[in-house]
Amino acid sequence: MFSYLMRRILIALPVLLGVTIINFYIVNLAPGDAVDLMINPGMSAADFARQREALGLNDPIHVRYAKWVGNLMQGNLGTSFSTQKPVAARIGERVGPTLTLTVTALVLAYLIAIPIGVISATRQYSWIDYGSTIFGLVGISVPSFFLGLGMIYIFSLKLDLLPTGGMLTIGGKGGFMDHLIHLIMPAIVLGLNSVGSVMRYTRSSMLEVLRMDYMRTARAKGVAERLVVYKHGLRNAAIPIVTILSFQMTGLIGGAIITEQIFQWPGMGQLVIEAISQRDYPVIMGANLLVAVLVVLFNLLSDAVYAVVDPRISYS
Amino acid sequence: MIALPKQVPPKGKEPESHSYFVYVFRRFRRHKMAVFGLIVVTLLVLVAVFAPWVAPFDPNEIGVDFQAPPSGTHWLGTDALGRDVLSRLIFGTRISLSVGVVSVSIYVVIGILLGAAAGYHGGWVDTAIMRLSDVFMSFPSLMLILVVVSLIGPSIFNVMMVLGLLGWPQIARIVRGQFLTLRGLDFVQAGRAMGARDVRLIVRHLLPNAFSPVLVAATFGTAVAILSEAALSFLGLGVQPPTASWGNMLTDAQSLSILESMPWLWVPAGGLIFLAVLCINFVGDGLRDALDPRLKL
Amino acid sequence: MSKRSGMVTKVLSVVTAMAILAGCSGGSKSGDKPAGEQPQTQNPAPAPAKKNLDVTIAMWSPPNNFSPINTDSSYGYFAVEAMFDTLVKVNDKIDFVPKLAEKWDVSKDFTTFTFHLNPKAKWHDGKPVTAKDVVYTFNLIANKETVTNRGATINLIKGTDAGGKADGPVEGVKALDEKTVQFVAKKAVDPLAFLEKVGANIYILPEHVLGAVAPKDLTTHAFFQEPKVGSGPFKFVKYASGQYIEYARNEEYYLGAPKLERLFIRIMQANTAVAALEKGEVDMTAGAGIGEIPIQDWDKVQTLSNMNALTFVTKGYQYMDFNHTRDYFKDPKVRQAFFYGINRKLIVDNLLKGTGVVLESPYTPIYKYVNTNLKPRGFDANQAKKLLTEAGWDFNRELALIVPIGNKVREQSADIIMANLQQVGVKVKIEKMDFPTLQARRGKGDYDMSLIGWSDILDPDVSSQYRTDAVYNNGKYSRPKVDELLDQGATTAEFQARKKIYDELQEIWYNDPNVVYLYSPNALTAVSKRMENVKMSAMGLLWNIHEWDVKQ
Repeated sequence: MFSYLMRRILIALPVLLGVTIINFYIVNLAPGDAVDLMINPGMSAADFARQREALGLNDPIHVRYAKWVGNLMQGNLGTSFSTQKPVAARIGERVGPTLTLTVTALVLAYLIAIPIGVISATRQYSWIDYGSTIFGLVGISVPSFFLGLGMIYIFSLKLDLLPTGGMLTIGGKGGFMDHLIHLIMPAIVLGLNSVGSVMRYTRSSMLEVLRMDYMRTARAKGVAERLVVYKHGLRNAAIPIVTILSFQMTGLIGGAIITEQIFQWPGMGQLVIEAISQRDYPVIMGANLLVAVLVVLFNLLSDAVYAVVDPRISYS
Repeated sequence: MIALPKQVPPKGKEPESHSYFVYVFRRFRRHKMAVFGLIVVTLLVLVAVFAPWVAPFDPNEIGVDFQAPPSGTHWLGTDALGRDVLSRLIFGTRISLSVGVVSVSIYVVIGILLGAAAGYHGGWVDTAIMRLSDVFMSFPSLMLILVVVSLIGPSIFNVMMVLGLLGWPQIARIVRGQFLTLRGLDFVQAGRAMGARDVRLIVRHLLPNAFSPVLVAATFGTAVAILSEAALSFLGLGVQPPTASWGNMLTDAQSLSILESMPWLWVPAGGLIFLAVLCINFVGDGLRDALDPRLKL
Repeated sequence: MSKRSGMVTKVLSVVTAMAILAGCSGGSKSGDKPAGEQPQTQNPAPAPAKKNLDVTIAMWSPPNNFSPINTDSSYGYFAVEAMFDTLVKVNDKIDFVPKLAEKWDVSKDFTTFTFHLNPKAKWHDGKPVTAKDVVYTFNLIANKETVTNRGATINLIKGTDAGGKADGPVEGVKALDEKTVQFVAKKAVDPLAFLEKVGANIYILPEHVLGAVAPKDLTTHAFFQEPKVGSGPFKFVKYASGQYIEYARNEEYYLGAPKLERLFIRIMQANTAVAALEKGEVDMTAGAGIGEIPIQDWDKVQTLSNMNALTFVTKGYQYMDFNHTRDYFKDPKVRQAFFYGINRKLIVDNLLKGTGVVLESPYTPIYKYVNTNLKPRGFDANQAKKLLTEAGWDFNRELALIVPIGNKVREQSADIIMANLQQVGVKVKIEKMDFPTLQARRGKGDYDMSLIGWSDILDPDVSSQYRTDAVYNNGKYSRPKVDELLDQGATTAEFQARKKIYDELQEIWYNDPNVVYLYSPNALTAVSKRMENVKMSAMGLLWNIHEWDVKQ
C-alpha cells in the first residue's frame, strides 16, 4: 500500500508540473499585465518603464518560467506584483480561512446528508424519501449567490441575528463564538450544494447495497435490522461515498470563490479573483499550484481511506 | 441494459427496439416529479425557440421608465435601463438554455470519443487519457473557468467553449467504464470471432449501452452548466449585457436595497433559474430511475 | 444515531474543531470593545454613556501596499493618508492648510518656494521630522532606481527631467536648515500648481529609517507592509489582509492629538455596505472613487435615521475616447456628431438618478478653469446624422466600443450609448473585458472607441492625458497647437493668463474633439450622525481627521 501511494505521488509530480506550465503560459499570454493596470496621474513614462523592469516583465516568457521554477525549487514562491509581499505569505494568510470554511461546509453537509440518505434508502417511497429527494434536488438547484444574498437579507438585515459578512467582528475580542456566528451563513450556503449531491449519492448506493445478497443473509441470520443497515449496509455503501469526497472537496474549493465574495470571507477564492484582475502572476501561479497540490492530496487521501474501508481492494 | 439481438439479423438490417423506448417511457412516467419537470422544460424550450413571437417588447429597447414596477404595459416591470423585464427573461431563456445545451453537447462528444478510445484500446492510450482527465478533474472547475474567461474575455461563446472543454472527464469515465465491463463479455467476443469490425462493434453495441448513463450525466450536466453561467455572470464574467441571460439579469440587481424594494428585478430571473435547473434535475432523476435495470419500479 | 458512525463522527468532530481553531489562530486579538457597540451600564443613574471613540470607515477594495511613494492611486493613498503627512493639505474649501509645513513663502518671481516645518513635527518613534527627511524623499523619487509612481508629480522641480528623474541629488531641493526646505522650480510656475503637486501630494518618508536602504530594494522592504514610523495623526497597528486596517491615535501629533482612539478602515463589498451602515457597523464611507454608495442604494441611504447622506461634485469624470489612428475619425464633424448622438443627459438622469453633471470639457464644475462659454450639446439624433453625412460617414461600418468591467454604471451607459448611436444610424459593437486587457488593447490601438474614467488633481494641466505621446494618451490625439498651449499653460504663473490658455484649449477640444466627455458622477457618501467635524468633500476625507469627534 505504501509503495502504491509512493507511486501515485511520483506520477502526480509530472502532472503538477504540466499544470504549472499550462497555467503559466495561459496567464502570461493573456493580454495586459500588472503595469497596464496602473493608472495614476502622478506616473511619468520613466516610472512606467521602471515598474515593468522591476517586475521582470521585460524578460521573455520562457526565461520568466525558468526563473519561477528555479525559485520554486528553492522553496520560494516569489513576490506578489501588486502588494510586493512574498507570495507564500499572501497565500498563507488566506488558506486557513478557506480551509475552515470548506471543511466546515463539508462536515455539515455530510452530517446532514448521510443520515437522511440512509433513512430515505431504508424507507424508500415514504414521505421521508420523497421529501429528502426533493430537498436534495433543491439543494443542487439553487444558485449559491442568490441564496447568500437572501440569507444576508433575512438573517442580517431583517432579524439582526448574524453579521453581514467578514470573518470576525472588527476590533472585537475574537474568540470561538465570534468566529462561529460569522461562519454559519457562508458554511450553509457553501454546503447546501454538497448536501444535495451527497444525499442522493448515499441514497442510491445504499439502495444498491440493501439489495445485495449478503444483506439478506444477515437478516436471515437474525441480526437486528439497525445493525444490518448501519454496520453491514453503510460500511459497504461508504465506499462510493468516500470516493466522491475528493470531488466534493474540489467542488467546494471552487464554490468557495462565490461564497467568499458574498460574505467578504478573506479566503483563497477572493485572493484568486483579485490576483487575476490585477494580473499578479506570481500569486496566480502560487494559488493554482496550491490548489492542485491540495486536490492531489485529497485524491490520495480518499484512495487510502477507500483501501482501508474496502477489504476487497488491495494496492500491492 | 444489454440490447441483445433476438435473432441473427438478415444482412443490413437490425431489429428495432421500440419496446425498449416504450418500456423506459413507462417507467419514467411513474416518477411524477420527472414528468412535471419534463413538461416545464419543454415549455421553456418552446419559449426559447419562439422568443421573438412570445416577447412583448424588444429586449434591448431602452425605455424611458427606468426600474419601473410591474404595470399593464410591462408585466414584470422594467430594469435599470428601462428595458422590459419579461421580454429579457424570454430571450434570456434562449441564451441560458443554449449555453447549457451547447456546452454539454461539446463535452459529451469529446467525452465519448476519448472514453471510447480509452476503454476500447486500453494500454497506453487508456493511461494517457485517464491521466489527462485527472489533470482536468484536479481543478476546481469554477476557478479554471474564471481564469480562462477573465483572460480570453467574457462572452457567450467563450463561456460555452470553456464549459464545454472542461466537462468531458466524467463522460469519458462513464464510457470507458462501460467499455471495460463489456469488453470481456461473450457477445463481444462472439462478434469479434464472427469477424465484425471494431467500429461496428463500438457503434452498434458498446455505445448504446453507455448511452443511458451518459444521457443521465448529460441531463444533470445541463443543469450544472446553467448554474455555472449564472455564477459567472454574478462575477461579471458571463454573458454580457445588453444580451440578456438569466444570470446577468440577476447580477444587475445585486444590492440589498433592490432585494428589498424591487423584487421584480430579481425574483423572476432567480426563480426561473431555480425552476429550470430543478426541473432538469427532476428529469435527470427520472431518467436515471427509468434506465436503471436493477431498480424495480 | 448509532454505533456505525461513532468512530466517524468522532473523527469528523475533531477535524472540524481543528479546522475552526486553525482558522481562528489567524484572527483574534486586540481591543476591548467591538466597533459600534455601547458598553452596558448596570445602574440606572443618568450618568453619560461612555463615548465610543473608535471610528470605522468603509472602503471597497484593499490597498496594494502602504508605500507612500508607490501604492495604488486611490485605496492605497487613502490608507497612507491616515498615517503619513505631506507638507500641506487641501481642505474642503479648496484652500491650502498647514501640515508638516506650518508656513511657506513664495518668491515674487514664482520660482522659489520655501517651507518652514512645524517645530513640533515628530515621527511616531519620537524623532523630529526634519528638512533632511523632505530632501531624502524627493531625491528618492527622482532616483532612477526607485520604483515609484510619483515621478510626474515632482517634474516641476529644477534638476529633474520631464519624468521627474535626476541623475544625482535634485538640484531644486535644498535643506536650508534643520526645519526649512527650499524648492526651486524649473520656470516661473502657478504657485497653486506647485503647492498642490509638491506640497500636497508627496508624503514625506523618514530618512533615519529608510536612508540606508538601497532604492532598488525598497519595494519589497518590510516597512511598506507595516509602516510603523509615520508622521500622521494615526499610527499603524495592523492589517488583517483583505479585511481591515487598524490604526491607533498618535498622542504626540504636532497639530494636536486626535480625539478618537482607534481608526478602522474596513474593506467590504459595496453592495453589503448599506446593511453595515444601517446597523451602525460602519460610520462612514471612504468617499469619492473608493467608497461610494452604489446608486441603487442611494435612496435607501437617504432614509437611514442614523446617517447623513452627502453628495458633492467631484474632480473625476467618465469619457469615451477615439482611436485617432483610424482615418474615419479624422474629420472633426464625425467626432462632433458623437456629442449629439449620445444622450448624456439620459445617462445622468436615469443611471445616476440625476446625481451627476454632463461635461463639455475635461473640467468638472469644481474647477476654476472650466470654460463656461461652451454651449452644451444635447442629444439630437438628426443633427448627428447630418454631421456624419456631411463628413461622408459609411453607415455600414461597425465600430468596436471596448468597455471595462467593474463599474456598473459605466457598463450600463455603454448599452445606452449603443442604442443611441443605433438611432443615429451608426453600428456599434460592445466588447467587454477586464481592465488590463482593455489597457493592452488601447495601447496597441486595437479598438475604435473605449470607455474610461479619469480623476486628477485640481491643477488644470492635463498634459499627461492629452499631449502628443503622453503616457495616457492612448487615443493618440495629436495637434501641435494643443501641445504648445499645454506646455505654455503648465509654465504660466498667473491665474488670468492661465485661464485664457486653458479656455482656448477647451474651445479647440470642443470643435475638434479629442474625446467625448460623458459625465461626472457626483460622489454619494454617508457619514454617521454621531460624528462631529467630519468634512468630506471632493478634496478628500482625512485631511482633518485629527479634529474629528463623536457625540456618543
